Amino acid sequence: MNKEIHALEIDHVSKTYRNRTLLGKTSAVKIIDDVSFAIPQGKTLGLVGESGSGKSTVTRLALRQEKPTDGSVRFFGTDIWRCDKERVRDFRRSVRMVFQDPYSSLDPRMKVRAILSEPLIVAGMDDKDEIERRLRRTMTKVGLASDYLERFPREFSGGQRQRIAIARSLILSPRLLVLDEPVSSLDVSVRGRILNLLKDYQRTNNTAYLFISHDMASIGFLSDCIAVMYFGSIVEIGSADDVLQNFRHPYTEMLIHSSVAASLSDRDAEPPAELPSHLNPPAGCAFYGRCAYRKDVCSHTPPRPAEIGDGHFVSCHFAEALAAVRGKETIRRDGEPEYAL
Amino acid sequence: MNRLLWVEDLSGHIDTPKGRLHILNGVSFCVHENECFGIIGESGSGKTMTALSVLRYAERLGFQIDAGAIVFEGEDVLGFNKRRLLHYNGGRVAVIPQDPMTSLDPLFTAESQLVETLRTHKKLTVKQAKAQAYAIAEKMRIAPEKLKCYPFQLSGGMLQRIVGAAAIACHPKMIIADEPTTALDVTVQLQYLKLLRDIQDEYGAAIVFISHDMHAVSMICDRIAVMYAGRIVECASKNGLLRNPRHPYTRALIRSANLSGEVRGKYDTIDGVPPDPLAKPVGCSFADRCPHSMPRCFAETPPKTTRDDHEVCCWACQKDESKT
Repeated sequence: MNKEIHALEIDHVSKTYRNRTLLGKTSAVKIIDDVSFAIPQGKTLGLVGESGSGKSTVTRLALRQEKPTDGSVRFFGTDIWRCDKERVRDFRRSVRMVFQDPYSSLDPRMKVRAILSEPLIVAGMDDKDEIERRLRRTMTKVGLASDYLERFPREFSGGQRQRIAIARSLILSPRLLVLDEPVSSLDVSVRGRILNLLKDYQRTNNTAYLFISHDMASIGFLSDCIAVMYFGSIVEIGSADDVLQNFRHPYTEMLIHSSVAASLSDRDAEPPAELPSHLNPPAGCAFYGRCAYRKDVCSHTPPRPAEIGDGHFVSCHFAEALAAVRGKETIRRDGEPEYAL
Repeated sequence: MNRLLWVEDLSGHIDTPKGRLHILNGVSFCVHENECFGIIGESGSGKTMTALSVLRYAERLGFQIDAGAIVFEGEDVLGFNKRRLLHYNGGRVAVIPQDPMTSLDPLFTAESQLVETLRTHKKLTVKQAKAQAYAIAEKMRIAPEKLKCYPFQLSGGMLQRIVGAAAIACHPKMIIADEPTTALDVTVQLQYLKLLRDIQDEYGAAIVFISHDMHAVSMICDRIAVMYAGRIVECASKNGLLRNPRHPYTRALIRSANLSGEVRGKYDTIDGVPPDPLAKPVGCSFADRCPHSMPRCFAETPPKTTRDDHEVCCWACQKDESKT
């Protein structure tokens, strides 16, 4: 089997922030704890989790805005923190970002033309005709008329603004696109069009996407792989089908159930949804306080990630038992289960 | 069931330097006692302006009502004077705003803001008000120590619960929740919706739930109205609307909301854009995006037709019915 080259590889990355008080005491806060994933060329990894789970820190690490405390971040095989300046410049040109809010991510005083040509000029392009050609081609790609180039962002609706933001990211033909909740501030009718646009672009240009969202439906639509984050760690990772249909972590189950329409009265009361504190991390499983299937062992022993299928990893003591409870399928097991639910 | 709120043919505009924006073009609906009524629509469809008109806040934003009536418990809301209005807002009708971060004063603790609300509407001593504040907080499942905190010390879900506590503090007859879950995480959203439902059962208040999120609306509401370009185009019970949508816009909205959560091929979308509010509406405002539009749709505004409590404004639907 030949080794696949990944567009982005996050390899056992941890990030610790140090906090020094007035008296000189230092305290360390571990925001990201041993996170690993890889995105092959032309594929999408969906990253799900609620606010405070560390999704944004992972994006900042992937964009080389933060240096990992441990582990390495590799872009097409090159460690982006252990390479020369030329490589770093190349990396910056090939990795682009689309932000959540198209109202605040576009400069209100710049015309669309200026917004789109800025990355080209920064990248050292000075041929006016070539810039013009690129602008028009990119506008067509995102489905906007080229006479919109002379307008200001305020003249556009939310969906159109997000197209402009996407055009700005695509204009340098990036090899990796980081999408931070690109559709969550848009109306449902517009949301679909942006997602279709992203999917079509990926199919024709073989760009890798790191797609961050808390909306399971759009994650399922765009992603090949899904990683579920909770409290700074990946609790479940696998192919989109595995995670969406054959999920084994109680937190994934909770996320999926929260996003599927059902009557509220069908549900039992859930434990309070507060994340544990990073200053005082729990000894056992971080999800203990909210888990519906918790047992004593969870309160003192943190679970290790275990492979339960082809590339499908889950960090839960009861990953196999959860499958039995759900009755979806039977899984091979050597010997009796250690714990019974 | 008794009618609590009744809005009839409400139209209004805002004058801007660019011209007159026709925000509402004949909104009619009624909310019964003790029900959860959902209003769903895209941004710019006039959901929030409808809510603000009912609260009489809209006028302060330069919104002028051209025609229509708002009747709450048999009283004409548009005719209220200042004193009546003070009792009406917060006392009989309360609002849960979209963004809990900006709707609480950052300089005061949650407790003092609850006490302030209570003492504005009821004759209470500080001590009594405090006791009530803690009782309400318990109902909203807020831990007592959280009330001593300032807004910046609390999470989004907790802040939204505090805003909710302030809304129910004076036992209002109706709570208007304007996109209360948009700023929250999915897992917290669900809990908040459940909490709203429980509170409704206990207090017997009606909820007007405004949202663009089909999931949230279908989880909590008994009846749902769909708004498009300043009009309510369809209004029915939850099951009637979701299982048997009749207006082409509602159908497209439900398809693109993708309630089952399963898409692999292509996302359903609605082509075209909503009409420009600067133009005075003629005919059905959805006509140019509608796959079933007829010449009549562009010329005449479709009237409301009702069948089995399922109201719809659409020429094509009327035609279908006359056939059967």
